[in-house]
Amino acid sequence: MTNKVADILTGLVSILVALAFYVQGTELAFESNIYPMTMEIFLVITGIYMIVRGVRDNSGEAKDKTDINYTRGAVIVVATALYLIGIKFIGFYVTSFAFLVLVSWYLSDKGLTIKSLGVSTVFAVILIAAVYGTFSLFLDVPTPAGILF
Amino acid sequence: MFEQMLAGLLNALTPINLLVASLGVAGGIIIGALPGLTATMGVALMVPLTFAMDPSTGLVLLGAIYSGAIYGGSNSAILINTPGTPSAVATTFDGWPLCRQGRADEALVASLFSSAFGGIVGTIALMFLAVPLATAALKFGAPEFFWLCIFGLSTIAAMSMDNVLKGLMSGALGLLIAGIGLDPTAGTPRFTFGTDSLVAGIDVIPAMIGLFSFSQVIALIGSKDNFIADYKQRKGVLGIVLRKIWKDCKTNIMRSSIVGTFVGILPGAGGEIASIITYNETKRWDKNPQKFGKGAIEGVVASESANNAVIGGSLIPMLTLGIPGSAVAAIIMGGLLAHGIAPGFKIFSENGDVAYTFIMSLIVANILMFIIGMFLIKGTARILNVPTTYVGVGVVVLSVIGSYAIRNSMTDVVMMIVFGLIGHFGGRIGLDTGAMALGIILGPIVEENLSKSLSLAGAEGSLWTVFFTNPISLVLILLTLASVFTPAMLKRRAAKSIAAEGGASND
Repeated sequence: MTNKVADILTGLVSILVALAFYVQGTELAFESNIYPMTMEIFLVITGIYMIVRGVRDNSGEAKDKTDINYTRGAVIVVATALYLIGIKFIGFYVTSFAFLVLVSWYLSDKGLTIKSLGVSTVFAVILIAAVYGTFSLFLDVPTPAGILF
Repeated sequence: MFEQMLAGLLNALTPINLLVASLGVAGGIIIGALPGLTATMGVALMVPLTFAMDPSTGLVLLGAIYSGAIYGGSNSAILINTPGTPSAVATTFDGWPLCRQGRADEALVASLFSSAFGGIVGTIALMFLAVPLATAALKFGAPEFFWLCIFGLSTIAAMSMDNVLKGLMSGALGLLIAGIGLDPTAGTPRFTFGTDSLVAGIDVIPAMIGLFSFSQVIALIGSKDNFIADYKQRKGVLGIVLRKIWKDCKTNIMRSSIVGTFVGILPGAGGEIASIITYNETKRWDKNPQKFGKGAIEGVVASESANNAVIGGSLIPMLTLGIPGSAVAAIIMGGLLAHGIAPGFKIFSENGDVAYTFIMSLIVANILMFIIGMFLIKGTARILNVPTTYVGVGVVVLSVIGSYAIRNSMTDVVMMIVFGLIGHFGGRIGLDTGAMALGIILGPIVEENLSKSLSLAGAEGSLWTVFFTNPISLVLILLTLASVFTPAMLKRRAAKSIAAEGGASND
């Protein structure tokens, strides 16, 4: 992504966020609105400046040279979303175990082999045992409950 | 007083108290290192255990957990870029870059030594300066707190020196997001976007876990590196770090510990504010501020010495005035009251044995923390030898349970994911997650004190008198201005010297 695109996007995002908060805060009393309104005005002004700066920038300089494989990134985001749904209905520990085994196996650089499935299962067993011991047995912290464990 | 101190020290060194302190420190480090489990939670969970103990032994346990947990937060901040406790946010700024450079051991040892040093300085202040410091802290009203937070926010200018404007915009976004929930003035819901679950507001911890941890998971899983860092255990790291601290960080560690102690005394201003302010000050006073954020040991030393010094500071108003300076101090105060001991000036005369055993045990706990911490570092650093895929999915599970544990709310877990996406994609377009985190942490305190100050100004009929005439406010305003403009001045000075060097070489 170039600096030009990054600046324009930053400007647009900050203006949109400020407008969303402005619309939500129209019914606030004067005193309650001073603090958020100050932030909204600041974000709109700096957002406009960012867009103008971006439009004027013709250097073509790259903003971020980090190379990220977004297919793998998307897999972890989607898997996490499914994991949250699973927690709500099935329960924390069972879903966490399945999540750890399946996602670490799928994303493993060793490929989808039986051996890597075994490694993922051992990893999941150890981590779940540590989490259960620390959170449930030692600290007695509640975990999300579902129909199973 | 010295006789009581000596008696307290001897009591703190009894085998049972040493055992309890060791267990408390080790447990505290583990609790602090787990994202979502805070020092407050750790101490609160252990209070019922102390009811069966002798009052001094119970307090030894609570103090040891408190010290261990605050230090423990730096472990995950350094190793997986996730502050284990909110007070370790500033540790991520340089701890994580150090880790990526394969210098995690240096960062961890620097953090451990600084934490123990800061903890001891805070405790010494608690021993000798409790009464005058507590009296000075009482002079902080809403306007002074407001300016203290603005001073904390000015860190953004120093933090985002490469792009101050985007840093300030990120901070403003954080401040605005912090406004979601109940309006502190009217008590009515606002900015909830029609969602009832947002009425309770955005909790800082899930937001931090998302911004620093989940956003990093996406980058880790998507990266081509098989490991977080090319890390090999080295011998002699302690010597390297101690020499570095002795050579370059003497003033830094002392200044940060003193500032941390004083911030700790201020009710409501905890380790997060102390570490942010001292990080900023260290960067501002350094001859080479450009190195901060790229792996400067000095940044880790500043943040960690300050947040552990807060412990002694926060106990000063609790023990001397009966006013707890932090949530943990409030819980410890509850523990004292449960044992029939009333905090206040009289505690030192009526229950001197308990009070001085507790104070001296904090020094013992910090020394034990250094010894136990050195053993634990060898184990915790091994996470760097685990492939990133396993670290990534493991961090997701810990982030989920950590976010949930705060309020037992799945909304917090969803918010953690949302903040993770904001942190990741915001980072791609140049927004600064550190600045946004500062905004979210300081936002509620800024707004609360702004509202109180405005009400005060309404009653007195003058905004000027309330905000700008108090000497403490004036000092904080001057510090804020210096903090905001110093990076630009340093940048200009550096550009001038480069130009001068260029001119000289051309000649």
